[in-house]
Amino acid sequence: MIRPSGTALGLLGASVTAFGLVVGFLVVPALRRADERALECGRLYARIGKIESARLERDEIRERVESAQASSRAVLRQIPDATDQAALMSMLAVETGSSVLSQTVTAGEPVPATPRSKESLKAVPVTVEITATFDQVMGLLARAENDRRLVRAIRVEMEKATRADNRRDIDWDSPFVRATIELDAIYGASGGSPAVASADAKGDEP
Amino acid sequence: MKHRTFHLLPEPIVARVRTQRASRRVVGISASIAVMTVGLVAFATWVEARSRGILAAAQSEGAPVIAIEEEIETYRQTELQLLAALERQRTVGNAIPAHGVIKAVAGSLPPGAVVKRLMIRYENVQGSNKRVRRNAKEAETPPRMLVCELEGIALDDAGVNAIVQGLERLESLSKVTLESSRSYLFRGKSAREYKVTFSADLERRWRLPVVADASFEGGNP
Repeated sequence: MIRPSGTALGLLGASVTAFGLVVGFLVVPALRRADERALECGRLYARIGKIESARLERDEIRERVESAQASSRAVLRQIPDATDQAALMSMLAVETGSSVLSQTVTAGEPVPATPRSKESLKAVPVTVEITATFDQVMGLLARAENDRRLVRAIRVEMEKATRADNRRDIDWDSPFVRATIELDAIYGASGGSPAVASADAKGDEP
Repeated sequence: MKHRTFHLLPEPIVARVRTQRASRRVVGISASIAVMTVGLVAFATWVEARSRGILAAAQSEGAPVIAIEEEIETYRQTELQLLAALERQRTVGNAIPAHGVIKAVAGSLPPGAVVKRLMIRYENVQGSNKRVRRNAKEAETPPRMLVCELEGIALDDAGVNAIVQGLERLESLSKVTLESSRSYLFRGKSAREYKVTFSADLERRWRLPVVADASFEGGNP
């Protein structure tokens, strides 16, 4: 039996190991990556081929979104993260004078904004008791409901003012009405941007 | 004639020569494998560089389309956010504002009719801090409703009818009911005191009210 030298066998072992390592860690991954890149290239060239339709789709969706943003600016209210009662009170306050006899604004404890348990928004109930002319009361109500912030009415009660000497007798000559307006100021919108707005604000009347 | 072979070299030297020859063969094979290994390294490097180059070229060529697709995706996200915000306002906000109802009611009153009391209530809109235990059937939230009561004085029965008809003509209102109509002496003249109730379904998809509507004009009910 002829046996090659140990050095020669060692060299053979080393070269076979190096071969295996190169194949396993260099050639096969390189070929796999080349395959993946070839696929990616194929997909890219397919997309490049559809650039005109992509442009058309982009223009269409841009127009749709811009139009939705424009119309939503007119209808979508902001829902602040905090109650911001100061701004709310100053929005509701009216000066007493010839058309406003008295006004009381009271804020209550926050409640869930909806009866649905999933809803995370909160509402600060605010009650406004006012004795003023009808126009003043309507102006106040419209100001609250038309505000950029989401404020909703919960209850509005309005009645003609009564005589000072007899509270059960309506004073028909008085220009004043006595109103109780219960409002909810919604807050707690951590989940979304208040700047975004409705997309189907146009023409979604039933 | 008989031939005889004589080994002139000693046995250990012959063995050494054979071993060296075998080793040379093995070294040769090793060298070949090493050359192949180097070749494979070069091949792998070339494949890597080439595929990377081709992909880079494709990406550079496809950059405009990639940008367009990214733009489309951004618009899609914006659109989804818009729809979500709209839906949230529909869930939380009042689609029919109270001042709009009052304005519409005031506009539908016939001449000579006056309002003593007006009450608007939005039902099932607000949540509660109280924990109420409900069974599965009750767990469904009842529909949101706008309920309104209107009390006042009209000149006569025709006036009361005109009020009811006027309210019935308002598209958003439903269930207009004349609760009562009775004679009433108003400033020495015979008149009719009336009470009308009506409601509106807030779950319908109404057009959302506009923010800061400056066009409001007041008017007596």
